[in-house]
Amino acid sequence: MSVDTSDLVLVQRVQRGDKTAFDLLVRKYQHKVVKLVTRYLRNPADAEDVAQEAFIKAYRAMPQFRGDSAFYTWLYRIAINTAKNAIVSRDRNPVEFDLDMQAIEESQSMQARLADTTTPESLLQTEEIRTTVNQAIDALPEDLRTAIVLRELEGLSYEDIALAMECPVGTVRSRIFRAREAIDRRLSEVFEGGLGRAEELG
Amino acid sequence: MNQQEHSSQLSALFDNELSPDQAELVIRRALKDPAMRTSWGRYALIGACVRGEPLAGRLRPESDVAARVRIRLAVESSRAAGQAAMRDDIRPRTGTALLARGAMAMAIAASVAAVSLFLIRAQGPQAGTMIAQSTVLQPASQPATAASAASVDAPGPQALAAAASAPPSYTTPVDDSPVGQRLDGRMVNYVVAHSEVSSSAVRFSPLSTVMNSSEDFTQDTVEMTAAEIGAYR
Amino acid sequence: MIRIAQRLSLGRLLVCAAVLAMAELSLAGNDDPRHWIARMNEALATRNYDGVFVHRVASTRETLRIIHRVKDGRMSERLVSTDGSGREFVRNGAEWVAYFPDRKVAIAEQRNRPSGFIAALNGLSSETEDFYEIRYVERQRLQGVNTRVITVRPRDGLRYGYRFWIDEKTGMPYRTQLETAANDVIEEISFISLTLPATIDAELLKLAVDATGSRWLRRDAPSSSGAVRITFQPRAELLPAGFRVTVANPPIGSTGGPRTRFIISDGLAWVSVFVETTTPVAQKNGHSKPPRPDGLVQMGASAAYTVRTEGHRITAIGEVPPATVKAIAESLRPE
Repeated sequence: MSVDTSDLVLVQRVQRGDKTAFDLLVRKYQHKVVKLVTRYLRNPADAEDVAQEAFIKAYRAMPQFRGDSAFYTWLYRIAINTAKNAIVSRDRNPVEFDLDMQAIEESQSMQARLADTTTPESLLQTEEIRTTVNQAIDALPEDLRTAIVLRELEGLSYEDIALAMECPVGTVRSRIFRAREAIDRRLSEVFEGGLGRAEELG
Repeated sequence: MNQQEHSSQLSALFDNELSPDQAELVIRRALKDPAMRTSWGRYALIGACVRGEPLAGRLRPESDVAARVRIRLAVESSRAAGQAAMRDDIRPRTGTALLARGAMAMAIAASVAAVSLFLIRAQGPQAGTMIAQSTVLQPASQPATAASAASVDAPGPQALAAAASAPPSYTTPVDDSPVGQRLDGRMVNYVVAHSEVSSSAVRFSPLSTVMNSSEDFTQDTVEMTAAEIGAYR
Repeated sequence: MIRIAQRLSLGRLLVCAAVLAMAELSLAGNDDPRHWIARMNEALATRNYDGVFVHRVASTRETLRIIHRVKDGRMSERLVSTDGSGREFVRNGAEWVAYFPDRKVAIAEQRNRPSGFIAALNGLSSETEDFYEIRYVERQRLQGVNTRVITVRPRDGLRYGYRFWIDEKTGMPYRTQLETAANDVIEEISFISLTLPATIDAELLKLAVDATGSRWLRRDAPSSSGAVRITFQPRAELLPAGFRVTVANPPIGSTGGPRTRFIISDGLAWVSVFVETTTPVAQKNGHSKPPRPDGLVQMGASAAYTVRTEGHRITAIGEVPPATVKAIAESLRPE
């Protein structure tokens, strides 16, 4: 389908004051907007800040959105403008203090916690997420893998995927859904298993 | 329709493969179901991974861009119950999608935990109107302030259900500093006292360090009386 | 003219001088760094502003929104974290409240210094210029805004300097860096968006976070009674060049906790010194032990150095190089 049905319905709800509907739009497009803005602000943290600003601006400007263009096209323009206006250019990063390099005598502060009683929260790295997803995809049965790749990488509609895979549209829909479920199961382990892994580290 | 079927519909909705009527139904469910919203977000994440795109929440997924936007929208416009007001400068726009015409404060019966408020706030000469919504948790024993809202239109139950959203959850910043640089209680006190004279580029900078530390920064404080609290709320 | 000057407060005099200076000099050709510092100070003191900035120090960064209003001579400000903690700081005149919704705690206290969160650079004088060099660097376009880059560079390694990108139209510092004498950046604030509205709705300055169920705490101003007389004094000849005691026993710090005993400054950099008594150290052979240093702690841009000597614990803390807080902590001697 060329019509962004989900976007249209969500936009209408946002215009009636539904923030949760906006949350769904943000969740859907946040990675795309970050990717877009990264072209202007290479530092990923800056790109995220600007992406956040762009979404806030979009929310506030939502009453003015008339559906003349697709929602993403409109959002895209807001994101580019926000990126261009961002008064950020990172030519120098703040220094990290390296105690070893100090010319003066140093010692630990008087109550330094050498053995921390609380387990530090695990920080999930982007690469870990990516690796998990890619491994999960590799582990999929071939028909599920083909379906999800044709959808996400090639952007084909269900109808076109059905033609390519020579199966009914309903089967395409089911395969994509099951692929997502399988990957999501792996992701859940990573996102929610942080505590377990930290305990391993002792 | 079982759970699997519902979820598969969400997946199809994400790919814009549902009819508008079907989409409407699934969205209505998703707006009430946080687990569905999480799945929705994961679908986007999966797509970004497949395409090798950057992810919008590099270090901590729970504080990704969506989470920050969520908190910011919830917090920026929330006001305590009873402060909803009708503003004269609301100019309904012709030709645009539906806008709520007046401020609507809907008080749910005292036994219900959530109160939803619709507020309209003028945003300044250039911006026109903005619709804001917040959910304020009220303890069951405290009746929501409805008196000031009695005269305004109440939204229908559908809009209300759609508007109810989970209260924002806040994440405590993680203290990333090396162990030798973690603050102890005494140092926290010093930093707080010093921040008043600090000349740092941003005056609160030493405080910011304290606030981001997981140390206890409530030392040397006394509990306020209810009367004192009232002056601030 | 003198009578008028006496009646005007210093702050307003500065503003008048700045306005006159602006009227005299053409905008484009002005490369006097003091003019730009004055414009910046004026903007920070008199304008309303609402913006989002990124604060970076060491390896941390945070993004905050600041709303600042000056109305009828009273300054109100609100700082909101946009990073997920929901933390807010609200200032109304001398009243200051910090909210921590993630911990369900709110702390209120009085803060007497009138400056806002983003500090103006007051204190430039012929004396401070002995230790800092003020320079106009260049006109620089910073993503669509014309700014003037001004530096206040330390002449030695005992203090930090500043670098400002000042909007030539509004005087607002779009970017500020705290840097070492070697031009390494310690700390930075940089605006992502900034507007200067003529009026700011009072609603924007009110706490937005839901404080229901939070503990409300108050940090008291210290009472003057019960202050223990501290027998240590900084020795002027031992203080780093340019630094001197500006205030002794100032009325800040909390009742129950350690009191600020001295504020030591060179005009731009400020160091607080705390002195506490500790359990007397057992003395062997009647000799007092040499000071046992407890060492250096670096917290963002702030360095703290603690020394224990003769039953006292002395801590100096400030946004200065570690060697400076060390020297200041060690400059205290018994009377």
